[in-house]
Amino acid sequence: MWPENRNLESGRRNRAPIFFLLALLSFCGPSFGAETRDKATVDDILLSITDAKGMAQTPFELRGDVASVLIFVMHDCPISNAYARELERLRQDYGPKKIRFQLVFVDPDLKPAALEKHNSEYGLTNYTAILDSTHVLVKATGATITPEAVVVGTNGKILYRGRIDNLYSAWGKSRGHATEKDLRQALEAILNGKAVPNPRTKVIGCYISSS
Amino acid sequence: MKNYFKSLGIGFLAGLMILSLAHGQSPTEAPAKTRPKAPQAKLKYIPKPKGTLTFTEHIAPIIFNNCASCHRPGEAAPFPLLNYADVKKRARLIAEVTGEKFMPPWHADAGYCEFLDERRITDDQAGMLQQWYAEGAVEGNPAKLPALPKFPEGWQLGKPDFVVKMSEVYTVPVEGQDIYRYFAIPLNLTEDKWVKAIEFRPSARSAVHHCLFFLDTTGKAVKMDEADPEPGYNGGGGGGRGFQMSGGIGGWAVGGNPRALPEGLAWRVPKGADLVLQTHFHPSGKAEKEQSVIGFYFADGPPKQTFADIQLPPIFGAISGIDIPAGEKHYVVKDSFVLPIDVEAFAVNGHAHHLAKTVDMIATLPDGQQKTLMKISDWDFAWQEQYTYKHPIPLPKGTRIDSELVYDNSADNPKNPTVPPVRVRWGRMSSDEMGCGILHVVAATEKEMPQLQASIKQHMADAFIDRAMAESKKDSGRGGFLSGIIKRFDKDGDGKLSEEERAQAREAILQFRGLGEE
Repeated sequence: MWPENRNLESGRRNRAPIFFLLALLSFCGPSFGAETRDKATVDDILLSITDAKGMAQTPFELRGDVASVLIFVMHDCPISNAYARELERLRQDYGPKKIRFQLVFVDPDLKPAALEKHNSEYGLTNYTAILDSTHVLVKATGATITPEAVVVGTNGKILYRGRIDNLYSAWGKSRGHATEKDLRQALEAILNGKAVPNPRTKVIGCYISSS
Repeated sequence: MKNYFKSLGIGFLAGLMILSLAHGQSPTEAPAKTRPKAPQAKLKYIPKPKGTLTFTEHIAPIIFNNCASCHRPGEAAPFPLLNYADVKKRARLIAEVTGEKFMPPWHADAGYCEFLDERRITDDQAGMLQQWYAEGAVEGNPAKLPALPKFPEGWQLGKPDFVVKMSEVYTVPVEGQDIYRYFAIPLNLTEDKWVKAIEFRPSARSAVHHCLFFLDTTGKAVKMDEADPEPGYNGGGGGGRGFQMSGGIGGWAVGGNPRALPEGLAWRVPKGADLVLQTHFHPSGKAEKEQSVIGFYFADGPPKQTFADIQLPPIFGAISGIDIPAGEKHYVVKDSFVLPIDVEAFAVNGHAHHLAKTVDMIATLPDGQQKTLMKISDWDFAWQEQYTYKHPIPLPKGTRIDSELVYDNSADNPKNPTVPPVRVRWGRMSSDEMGCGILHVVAATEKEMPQLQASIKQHMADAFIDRAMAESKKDSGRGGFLSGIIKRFDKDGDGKLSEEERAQAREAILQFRGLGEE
């Protein structure tokens, strides 16, 4: 198991081999045709980033939680926004069960004040919000689209990546209510110590600019 | 220190794993810098020489002329597309949504009729958007950037002659099912007016899906609005508007541009009439505040011509016995009407909810020639639009107009709002169904218009009678009013109506007030 309170210094040292490997990867050359940037684990478990309130966060470090959920969102993506209530319900339902939730805003042009206004309008002020302007978390997780959920378990393992549920069947086509709640299903499995039944699902939404 | 080595080791292993996967051992893994292939739509596109496409020279003209009118602050689209940064940031999304023809939103199939205000880009333009994205979304020489079109600020049709506003702000719930709500607005006009255009400006741009405009001269709608503690009211019995409408005067749907009626046509707004908005909301995720403003543009005087709507089947399919079994993949609703006079069609639209797949209207001329008046092969509930013909279509007397709607109530239909599917019948909620095609016409010779109007009414009365016959045969117990008609007019009691009996039944139905409304 990972220790609860490591300092960030050890986390930084940890990144060196990853950077080396990423540098190697860049020699592989572009290969068109891949549809995802899926990863089995996050790049750096101790990666630290400052949240919208100026607090240092290590979103991949579990610190006693069962799993950490990052929801990648865009403030002006209508599909992201349609999930606001469900995101708050998820946090309320699973927060007490030691599942940590973070909202990651990926628009590089979004200003902190606009983020705050957005979250207060959409009732998301209880979330830990991170403004990932330089796509540190996007790259670390391989997120490509919003609203994409990435569930990180022990050892930085990505236990689930994909849609929150099947509310949308295509752009502009909402069912009104979801009939397959993939993220909830994944969290239930994780809490019960079982394998996630569908660990990767396709997200309908707005692509992240670097994807 | 021990922990440090441990984390180093895990990090190294994870890195190795990524490296090995990047070498093609798993189809789901790819290096971070890979650009996913643009969508595989069936575009007729011959790629341009590699690396020659730039934003300023090739992409900006496409975006500025086809997207920016809605994708700018204050308009309905969720984000602006007004410069390189806006477009580059969304290059992949734009390449895909245009490749799949989700954007620009336009659902009438190409290749049949030409319409005004068509929002459509060519395969070549969609192909360029894909290629530009795949090649890295390059900006190019800023000197080549075209100017943005001049978009009118505020009222799109210019300053209205008369403006009204919802008296109170309605707060749209943050989520849940669609909402239909009525808002009654007294116009206080002291004389009859002729209206050639109406511009509707919602404040809750991301939640208002469409709005229909009705007139009420009975004062009932205002009373119902006042009686409801919240702004507006939910509708009378069964969600209906709860008053005898004295006229419908058009509507507005997301993406639609306000447009005046064709030259010489106008709606009559009687003095003392109240405007009633029927607004359809999609909750957007936040508590949107809606207070629509409506601008009227008056004609100088009574119009020289009148117009009629040929709705097939009538009353949005309310008397067509729409009853779609759960799981049914191909349920057809159709209707036909033969023109009693020469007409010119100037606009067309369809109406259905989520289960409809296709909505078609076809004219068969007396010489056998067929003309497609509207073909929608991927019906989308979200884009209820009236299509105005670029050139009005002349249709001679004796032309048969056929409408056909096909519904898919199976679980395979991703637009099916109910999983597992349930039996769906006609109804006002979007989880019920409706269905019709509507052709908007003027008479070639104005004085013949009464003949057309009489035929339209007769067609509707016949639809009622046919429905009543069908229901009475089924003995379904549903047909109180309907089977009553048959019992009353089938004097010889043979279960059929003779021509004479049918004529009497028609007469009685047409005198039944309230007929002909949604």
